[in-house]
Amino acid sequence: MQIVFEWIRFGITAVLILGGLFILGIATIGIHRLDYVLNRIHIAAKCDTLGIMLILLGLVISGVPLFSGIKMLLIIAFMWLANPVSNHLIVSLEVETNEKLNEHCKVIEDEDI
Amino acid sequence: MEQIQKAYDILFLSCAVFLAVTIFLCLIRAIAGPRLTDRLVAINIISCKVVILFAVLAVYFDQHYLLDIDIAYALISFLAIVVLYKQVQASTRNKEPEFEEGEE
Repeated sequence: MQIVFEWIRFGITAVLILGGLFILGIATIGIHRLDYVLNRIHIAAKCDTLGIMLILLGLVISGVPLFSGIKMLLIIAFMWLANPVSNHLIVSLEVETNEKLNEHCKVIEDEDI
Repeated sequence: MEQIQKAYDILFLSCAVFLAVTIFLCLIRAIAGPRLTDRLVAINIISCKVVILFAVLAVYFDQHYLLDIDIAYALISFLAIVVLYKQVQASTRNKEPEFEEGEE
């Protein structure tokens, strides 16, 4: 009976980790296929945040010691806070430095609002 | 139980190999990106994948002190983006008043 539960736990771990690897593979394909920075960062930010959650959650379920699991949950929490902030900084840097931004997307000037 | 241990080892090892290959593919984008922000996006993805790779290897080799290094790496990768943002923003903003003064 014990061995059945162990195999079920391995199945959950494998599904979570393979799902995370699939998401990260999509992110890698996306930054090569898409043309402009804002499109690239759209797929990069989402896929990174989801992939890190799936893989580290799979590692936590696979039966690590208690404090290692707590550290992994801490890493998930920190990356969920830090990753959107750093991507937002990259986007604002692109908007500030690119002078030909209106060739790629519609820009609303401050005077129009 | 040995079979389960073997299955976990195969899973973690294939995960680490896949992550290494995708890190290399992202490095190509970081070299070829036409603008600075392209490179920053690629570097951000690479650091996120390295954090995952550290965690997987910590479980695979059963060396759990690697997770402490992992937390420090996550902090440093966030700090690098913030510092680069501040630096580039300051250098582009300093150019504009100089240009206006030159015109006057």
